[in-house]
Amino acid sequence: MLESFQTSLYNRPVWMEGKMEDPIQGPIQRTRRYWYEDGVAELAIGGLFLAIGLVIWAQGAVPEGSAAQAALGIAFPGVIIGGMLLGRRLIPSVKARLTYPRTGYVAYPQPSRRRRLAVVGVALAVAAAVGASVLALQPPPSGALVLLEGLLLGVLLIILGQGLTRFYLLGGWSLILGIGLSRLPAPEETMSGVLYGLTGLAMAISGGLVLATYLRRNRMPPQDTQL
Amino acid sequence: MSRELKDLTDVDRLIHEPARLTIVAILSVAERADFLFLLHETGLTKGNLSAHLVRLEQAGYVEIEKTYRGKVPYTTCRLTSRGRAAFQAYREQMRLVVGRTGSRRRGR
Repeated sequence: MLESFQTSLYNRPVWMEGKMEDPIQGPIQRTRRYWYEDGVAELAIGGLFLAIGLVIWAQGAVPEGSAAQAALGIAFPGVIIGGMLLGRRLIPSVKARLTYPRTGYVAYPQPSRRRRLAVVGVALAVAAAVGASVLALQPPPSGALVLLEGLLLGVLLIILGQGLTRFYLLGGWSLILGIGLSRLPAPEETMSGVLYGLTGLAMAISGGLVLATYLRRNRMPPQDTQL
Repeated sequence: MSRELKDLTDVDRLIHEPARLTIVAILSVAERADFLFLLHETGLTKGNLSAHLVRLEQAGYVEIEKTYRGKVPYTTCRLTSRGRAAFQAYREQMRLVVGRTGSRRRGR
């Protein structure tokens, strides 16, 4: 049971096993997805989301206007930027120890300037649309922000996941959390923290399972494997 | 000779070979990949993979860089702009062949 669940998390849905692979698209897709092969990136992103969730939750839990709340407000961007910088160093270094010696190394091309601009443009458009919706619905309906955050996190995870089943599940989980938490009679900040925390926890669990499966399936090859 | 058959005989046979097609497809979405990754993804033997890489290198489609990591040889491969163009042309040609065959079948 656990094996089939891990198989669907690790690679592709069990029902797809045995289908003939497109000789061009198959290798292209597998190479693109290789970044997520070991679950390390998910573990790191999950950890970052957990930290963000904790800070947001703590901001809602401490007394309004207190020094602790001010300190957490200052720490919040630090957690995001620091976490991203740490991830950029940590993920390649873990992969260099665990993944590259087992199944090889792939360097991906840097996205073109046009693509980067397009991503920034889409992000700005989404942020503007969300901002405009919040301003238009004054006062915003209770839980609207948590619902939007759940939706955005879900979409982000699905886009990041390169069509991997487990990322659809994680995106769906985030959306369900957003819908569920937005209906609870609790402060929005607390619910927002819980949303990020539980999404991060799910990512970390998924990443951990994928990593365990990867390490079990791929033993360290002998030293002379290179050409 | 039918048009579809002519299109098929015109394809770049260096890329058309299944193992080399897989290698080129992998390298088309990577900046660089090492020998171990190609070995793992293609399922070829070391000798077979080496032979295919050498053929692709001789055609100017792939650039192979051999270095050392400590005392262990380390090989990375990259698709050249010529190889990228050849792969694009191959894909376009195959799309045309498949498209024509499909439209002829539908027309029956």
